[in-house]
Amino acid sequence: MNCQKFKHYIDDTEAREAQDFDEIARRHLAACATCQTHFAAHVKLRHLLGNLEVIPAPPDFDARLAARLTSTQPKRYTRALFDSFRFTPSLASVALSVTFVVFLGLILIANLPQSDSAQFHTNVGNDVGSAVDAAASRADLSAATSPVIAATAAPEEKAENIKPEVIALNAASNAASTYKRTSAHKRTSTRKFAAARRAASPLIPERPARIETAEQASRASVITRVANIEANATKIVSSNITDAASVKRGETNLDKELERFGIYADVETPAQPIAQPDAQTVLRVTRVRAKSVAAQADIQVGDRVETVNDVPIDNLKAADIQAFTTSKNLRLNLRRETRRLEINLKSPE
Amino acid sequence: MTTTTLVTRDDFQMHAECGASPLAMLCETASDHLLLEAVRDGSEAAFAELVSRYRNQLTNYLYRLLGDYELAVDLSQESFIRVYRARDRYQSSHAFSTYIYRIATNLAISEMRRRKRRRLVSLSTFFSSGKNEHETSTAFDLPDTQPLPDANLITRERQSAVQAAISTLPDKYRVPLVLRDIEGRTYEDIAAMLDINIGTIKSRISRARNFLREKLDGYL
Repeated sequence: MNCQKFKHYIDDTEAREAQDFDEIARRHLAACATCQTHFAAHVKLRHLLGNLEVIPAPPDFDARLAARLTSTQPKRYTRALFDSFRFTPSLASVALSVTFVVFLGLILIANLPQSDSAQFHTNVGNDVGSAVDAAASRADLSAATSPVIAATAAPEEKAENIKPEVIALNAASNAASTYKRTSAHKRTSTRKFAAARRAASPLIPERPARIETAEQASRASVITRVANIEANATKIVSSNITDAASVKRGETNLDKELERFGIYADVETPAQPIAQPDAQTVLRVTRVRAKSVAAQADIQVGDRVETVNDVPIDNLKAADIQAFTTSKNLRLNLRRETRRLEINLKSPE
Repeated sequence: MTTTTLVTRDDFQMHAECGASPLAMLCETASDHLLLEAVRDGSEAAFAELVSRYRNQLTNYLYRLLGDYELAVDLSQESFIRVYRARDRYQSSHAFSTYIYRIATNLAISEMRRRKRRRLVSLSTFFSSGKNEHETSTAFDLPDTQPLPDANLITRERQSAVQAAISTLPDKYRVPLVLRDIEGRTYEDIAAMLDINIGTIKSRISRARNFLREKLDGYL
């Protein structure tokens, strides 16, 4: 045994007398003066620490304790409350599990993909609703002049003059407005819009093919493109409706003015407004009165009048057509098959 | 459901007397666990007996740790209050002495940390240097005009030096040393109180003794 081991030995054994040591330690102690000194100091220190005076509690310890206990006694109902909710390891694990499950459920619900139909109708509904509003705004449709609203106001007397797309657009507009008005009726509005959309199906493109999950990133842009196409269609149709509804009746000032020059025309709108977004509404000449100014100017049946006095037919609003004033001369831009002609007609009077 | 009874000052003192009544005899002979069972059932006498058993030990222990008598008394009482409030949650897997010493140790460690943060020096400690530890509760004692015997003087000086040396020990060495060499607790008890394994306890006590040997070289 060396000195280091001996020091550990006396700490481990806690022996205070040399005779309590084992033989090896006793022999080392007898032979090593350093360890003898160390052991003597060790024993003295233990003795010193062990014989420190015991400091008693003060005589009024109990009284003070009783006073503190009385003054700090928790209220009964508080104790009962906390006792009933005593936190134990099992309760902690249950609480943790419930929290985890709820959290997981919330994440799953948040990431749950909406049904394709609902999402499509929701997005397109918003976009088309906005498009309808925007188109109406661009066309500057007032309540008095808008055929859409006119059709709503007096359907029985004007039904024969309103094209099917007018009715379809009107229904779609109403549905979109309803849809936007309140989110509480979201499902109902979506259903109404879907029904209106089905009615307007020739004007609105079919729903795009389902995009797989991997392509969800481009889904928004596809829907936006579809909505833009629909917005263009809406714009064209509303523009056509604006003018055509009045021109077609043959009783407008413009019709009378044309008849004065021997021209009978009907409105021709683009057959596929979505496929031909740049196509214009024109007047197609259906008949030319014999020996009239128009016949003398070689205007032929089938010619398409694009402008009257430099104003495009496409831009003529119902009010303009109705208020068309008689003029001495009439300047027409015609399209005959691929050719464009400019013809000035002088008043027969 | 256990009934909760308020401990009045008079009741407490009456039972603390633990006179010649059968209940008092039961108090003196019952184990700590039995007494605590009785406390749980609302017996103030049993609690008073527990207090009388441990008040001096705890006060002495806390004084040796903190070096401040008033604080030691205060924390000792706080330990009993916590035992009383938590009487329903007491589990008899360990000895009651281990349980209450653990409470007292935790309170003392918290206090030592707080003092370390604030660098607090109590007035009673500040004025008690060179006096008997028991007299530290009275900070401004008048000087004793009677001549003291040399033996008493030497003993007091030595004990003051030991207390001062203990106070300089780091907390982690001071607590196990006081528990082992002053309170006489076993290594197993200390390990249970401090929630540290026995090897670490032995190592810390050995280091503390070496430290004290250096500090108290002139007294050994």
